[in-house]
Amino acid sequence: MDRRQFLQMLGLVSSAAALSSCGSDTGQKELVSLLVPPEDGIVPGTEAWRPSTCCECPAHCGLLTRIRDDRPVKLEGNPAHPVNRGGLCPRGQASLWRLYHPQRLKTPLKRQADGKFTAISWSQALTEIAETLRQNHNRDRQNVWLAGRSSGTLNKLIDAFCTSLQIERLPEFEPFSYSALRQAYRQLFDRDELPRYRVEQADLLLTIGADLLETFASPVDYTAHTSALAADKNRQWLHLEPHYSLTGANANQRLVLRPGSEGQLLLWLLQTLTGQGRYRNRWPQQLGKALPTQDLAATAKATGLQPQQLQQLAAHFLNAERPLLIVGGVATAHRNALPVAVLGALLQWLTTQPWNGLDFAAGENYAGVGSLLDVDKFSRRLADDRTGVLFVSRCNPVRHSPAALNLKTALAKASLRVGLAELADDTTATMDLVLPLTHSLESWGDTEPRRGIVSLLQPLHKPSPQVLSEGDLLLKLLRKATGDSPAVDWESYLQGHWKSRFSNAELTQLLDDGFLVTPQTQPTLRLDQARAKKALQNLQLQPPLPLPAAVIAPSIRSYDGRSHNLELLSEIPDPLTTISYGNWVSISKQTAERYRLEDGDELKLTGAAWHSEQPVRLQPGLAAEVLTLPMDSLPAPAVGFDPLTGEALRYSDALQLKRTGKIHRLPILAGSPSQQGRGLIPKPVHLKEGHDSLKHGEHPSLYPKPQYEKYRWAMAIDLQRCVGCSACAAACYIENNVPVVGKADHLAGREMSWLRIEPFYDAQGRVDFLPMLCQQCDYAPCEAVCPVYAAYHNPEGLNVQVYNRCVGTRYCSNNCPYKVRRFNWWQHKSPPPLDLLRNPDLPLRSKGMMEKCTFCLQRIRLAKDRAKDEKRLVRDGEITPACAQSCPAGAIVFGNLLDKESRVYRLMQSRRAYRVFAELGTEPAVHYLRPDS
Amino acid sequence: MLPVIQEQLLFVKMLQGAFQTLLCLSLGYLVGEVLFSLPGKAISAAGAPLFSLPPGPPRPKILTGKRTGLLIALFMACNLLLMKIAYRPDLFTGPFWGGLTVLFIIGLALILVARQHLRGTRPTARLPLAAALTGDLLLLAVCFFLLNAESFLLTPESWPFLASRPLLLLSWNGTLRFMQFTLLALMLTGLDRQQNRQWLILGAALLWPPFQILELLLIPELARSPWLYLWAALTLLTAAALALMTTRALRKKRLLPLAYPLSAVTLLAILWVLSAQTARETTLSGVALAGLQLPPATEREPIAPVDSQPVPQPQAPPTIDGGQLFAQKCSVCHRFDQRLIGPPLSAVLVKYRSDKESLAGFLRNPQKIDPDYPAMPNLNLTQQEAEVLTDYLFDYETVQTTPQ
Amino acid sequence: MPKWLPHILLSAYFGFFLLLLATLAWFWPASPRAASQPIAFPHTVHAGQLGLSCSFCHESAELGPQAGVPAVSKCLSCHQAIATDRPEIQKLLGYQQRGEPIRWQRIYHLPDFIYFSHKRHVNSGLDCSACHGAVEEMQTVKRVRSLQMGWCLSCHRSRGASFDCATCHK
Repeated sequence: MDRRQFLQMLGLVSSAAALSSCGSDTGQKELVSLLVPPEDGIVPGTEAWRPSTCCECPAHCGLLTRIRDDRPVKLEGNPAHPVNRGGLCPRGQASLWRLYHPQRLKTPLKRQADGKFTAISWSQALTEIAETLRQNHNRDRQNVWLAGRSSGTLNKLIDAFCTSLQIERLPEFEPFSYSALRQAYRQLFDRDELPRYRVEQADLLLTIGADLLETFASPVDYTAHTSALAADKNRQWLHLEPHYSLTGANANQRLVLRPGSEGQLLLWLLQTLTGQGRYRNRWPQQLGKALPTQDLAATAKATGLQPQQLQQLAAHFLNAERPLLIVGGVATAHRNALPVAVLGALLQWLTTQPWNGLDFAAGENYAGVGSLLDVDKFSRRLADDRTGVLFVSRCNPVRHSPAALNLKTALAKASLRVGLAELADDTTATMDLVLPLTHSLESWGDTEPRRGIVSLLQPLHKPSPQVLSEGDLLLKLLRKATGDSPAVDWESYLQGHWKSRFSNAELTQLLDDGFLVTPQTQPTLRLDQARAKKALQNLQLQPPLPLPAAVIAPSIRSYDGRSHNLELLSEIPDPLTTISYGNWVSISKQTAERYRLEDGDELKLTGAAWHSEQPVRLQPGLAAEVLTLPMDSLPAPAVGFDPLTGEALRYSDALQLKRTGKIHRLPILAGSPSQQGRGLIPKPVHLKEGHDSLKHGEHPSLYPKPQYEKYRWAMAIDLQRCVGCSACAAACYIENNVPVVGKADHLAGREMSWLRIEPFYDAQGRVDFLPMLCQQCDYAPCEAVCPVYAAYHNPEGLNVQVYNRCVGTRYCSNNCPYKVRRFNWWQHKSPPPLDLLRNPDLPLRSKGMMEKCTFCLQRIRLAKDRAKDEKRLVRDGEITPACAQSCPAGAIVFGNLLDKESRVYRLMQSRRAYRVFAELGTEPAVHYLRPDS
Repeated sequence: MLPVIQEQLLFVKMLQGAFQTLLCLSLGYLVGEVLFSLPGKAISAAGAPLFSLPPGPPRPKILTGKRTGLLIALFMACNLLLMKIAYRPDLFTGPFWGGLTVLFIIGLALILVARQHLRGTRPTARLPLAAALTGDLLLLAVCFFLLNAESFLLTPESWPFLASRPLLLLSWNGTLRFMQFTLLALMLTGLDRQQNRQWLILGAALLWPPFQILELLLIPELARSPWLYLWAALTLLTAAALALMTTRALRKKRLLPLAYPLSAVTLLAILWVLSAQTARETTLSGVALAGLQLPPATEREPIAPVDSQPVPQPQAPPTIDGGQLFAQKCSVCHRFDQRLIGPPLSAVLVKYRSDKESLAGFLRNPQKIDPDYPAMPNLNLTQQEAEVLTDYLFDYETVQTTPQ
Repeated sequence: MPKWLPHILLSAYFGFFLLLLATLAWFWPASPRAASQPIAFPHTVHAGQLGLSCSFCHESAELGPQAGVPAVSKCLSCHQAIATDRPEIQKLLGYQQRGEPIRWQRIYHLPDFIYFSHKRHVNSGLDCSACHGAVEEMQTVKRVRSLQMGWCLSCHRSRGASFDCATCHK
């Protein structure tokens, strides 16, 4: 008798009791009938897909929503949508957490005298607002409307609403307003919008400060194209920035600038390029004279770059056929915002005009968005005490205005403050009335993220009974205030608007595909030379910022902070530092040595008008005197604003640093930033040491060789393309009901992520990301040691974990060299309504069970079911695991290794292909393609 | 074809139960008796009296010797036969019955032969010892398999698979019933009048409850019923009574009068058999046995493994009776010349007289035409059924409207 | 040893087991094979006398993983006019008027971690009665199979279906 039989016998009597009740009801006791049969095509227990749009950030990527049991359970990028073409960032994936957030506002709230909010009814709220509107109108106080970026039909309704009630519509508020860039484009090209940069066509991409991968305009779109560009041998991407961002980490080459010196760099570049080569002829004479001069040495001193580097930069531009420059992000977040934007725009005109690298026809729709200048103006107006009702919808100006504007105190002067939001935030906390809004997945609508693109919103989830969509709210209020409204409800208003705007065919296309593209005429970019000359003459370049300086950087996990309250995004660690929960400040090695700091030690940063205490995290590759503060670490991430452009200032210079001696426990999930020489990502430089991890000989094994008949599921992950954004991790969490465990468990090393992004830094501070998941090894070390046969190798190559067999010895996790097995130490229960966010195709694991990546076995099963209906084998491309589906860069490929025509087979044959720890003889099914240096 | 026909065979089942009780008692006694006489005490060829009497003329033994053997064999045969009739377990193959019978006969024979040499005064010689032990073991094995077979009857859903996986016969429930049988055997042995083996009765009675509870825990779920618990409770009480009376006797160092322990043990055996039968009754209901795709009673067809992607076999379409179809599906709502729930068919057929095919189409996909009547439900008719019905309706109409 | 001690001990011992038995009987009565339904729907009438096929009401059994129960409108397609005076039909009509779905008590329940596709089993040629018994003879539906894994596996093995754990364990 072997070990397993013995244990089986021992356990049988106790398990017999459980087994014999196996057929009885636990949980789902009822079969609830429908009233009428479901819509055509929806068979109970199967999924339905509906197009929609993600509104987690202003990029508005197109979605396909998976509906199960009448509820959205997964969001995926719409492969046909022009904005994101199938990818979705981690925030988009986590948008479902917002839909099911336990703290969603459910009723209208009114602030009482003691400052607490109590629930009131809609009629009470609307009556009060209508009354106050009328009163203010009589008393000649101006009612105002302030909202986040609004587009589409809702925008029209807001206009109609404001016009009817004579409410002044303030410029829209977005923390990332791109106002410097837009001002430059307005001044020079007479176009007040952010163009779409044609990264896919460029052969040289130079980004200065612009965080294309994290938050810049349309991150998913740019991630796809920049990663392809960086992977292409014939094209190159250089990124210049003062700090260390994810974007910089993924560029072919990253150069470190002194904070605030982008203007000097651009000036020298413009000067150099227009002085020679093919650009000389294009540059108008009068502008040439107006351009200030700056020599190489001065530029090198200002920027901190070497003269050779600068010259090489210029040479790149001259040699490239289609060079593309993008400035933005932290480059326009200091006092040189306008010069940087103007110089950048001129350079862009110079270098991209021949090949139309700036696509203003598909420009990002920021026409209505203002800047902090408008907020400042408004704040002063408030102080004049002539503001009546203030509506603040879908934006958080209190958090994102610099303290100097005194917005919070100014707001108190408005006679009635009405906030419209889905979740409470800093701004709603100051409001008198808070009205709950529906999520973008809960109502009809349309958005226009870019010119020529209309993206559909449709209700896929029934909102709480007391929650209204913004459209319905406005119409109700209009009726209350004036007794009349353009339509009886938002849906009919929308339909009427669509009918008048679109033909029937277009409307059908919009509803079926989820978007509608109207081809726009390509405008010719005309440089207004007179204004350009004036701009150059008035150019005032401030010197670079005095060090030490802190860069307040946006995060891919929270955008400007708006996604911070989605706990899933705190659970997934920051890709560069692998810190999950909490705040931190990233410091360089030199700063750490100077102040004797280690990870977790607290550092006090004192600036001119603010201070902060943060635990530190060492960031390899960060410049010596520069610190990176994530925006979420500060209560007010804008330390000031630029009076010329209205851009928020996100630098704090001339800091005083002091070690306080306090120690914080930071949940750092990576074991080590270094590979410790283990060849986890073997770059060619490692090959020189004679360690050829690519070609390992056949390992003789005592185990029989597994025989696969029809399928051998395998995955190929291209590390060149992976940018570390962690969208795959977010998708995996939601697809597989992986529990979110919280900070305490992270500190104990008990994270539950099935797929993690491991950043590995080399000695120069360059980073490569290794997505690590269960390798589904042929000779899996975990299978041999399970006493109850819960982990076994199935005939299709997967390492299957049978949850209810697991007794929790954790020997398998102990044995796994990749450490990808996760144990449920607790019974994880989600607070309602988050418990509705679950994929019914796989079970919720209970306490004491081991779980791990299954290559989305439920998707494999579904595809095989469909294939069996059609009496064929599964074809390549039919199965896409959640991680592969969400990756904006398309780094993960899944397929059947036995199919010689499949993508994964061909990638496996690539000379770049290798496997992690291949020398252990585990024969993993995940093949990585190492990045070329 | 159902292998069990319940109502008519109630008497047969009762009889089977009675024989099984007798078999249990007698076989149990034999086995226990033999086991305990092996060290060299008790039964002599001449036969010591079973009952311990105060001095008097010796009475002949009734449960020893060839007659005993024959009686036991008779009980066994009757039991098996009646089981086969009552439950028609055709799933138990010939080899199973044959094997059981052979083992039984050999075991019985060995014991009966060896009994001659079981002396009362000195230890048994080696050959008879071996023979007696083997015989005992064989008989116990027979009981083991028989009781497992009985328990297998409680899982009809496994019946179709026994041929391919014979180990399905064994079950924990069966094993526990075998343990209970062993306890009964020990109790019977303890009834011996010659020696004070009452501690055996006490021990067995004390061991009875845990085994009873375990057996209930391990019984197949579909066999549970309130009666089962009742029998179990009664067995517990009987065992308690046995234990009590034996304790008292042991303390007083006296033999109990035979009647009490014997009737208690008999009662225990009867209840034990009754619970098995009750479990069988609960499980083997007609509705449960339907659809089991068992081989027919006369002939065994092996269940061939099918292809993972079976090709549907073309079959000759079975003949459908239009009248029967009408009676089943249509007559609930329709009559020919009166309105019921649907319109009278005479009126309907008038419309379709010129276009009979469209009637078949309508029957397969009925639409709500007349606001005066409720919508006709879609009865999922096949094309063949619709055509047969159409023909039937028009034939009927012809019959009705042709002047007689 | 006092005279009464053995009696006490024995009584306690047997009493304990009787209590255990009583607990078993309380928690595991005739196991929950049947349940009382909100409407006493007789399959004997519909599937038996009327001969309606299983898929007439349980349409999605052939189409998807769940067989489900028919929508209220399906029942009403006949019972709007048929037998509307009977109390059970009155109950049905009440559900329709209130717009309330009927909460049937589930009889065949597989645990959450099991993936069972009705479509696959129906399409493999299995008759409904292979797992559900003779439903057309049941006044109230009872569970007639243990639904234990060993039973599923025996059928899978003998019919050549996959018995890979991942086939059914989600």
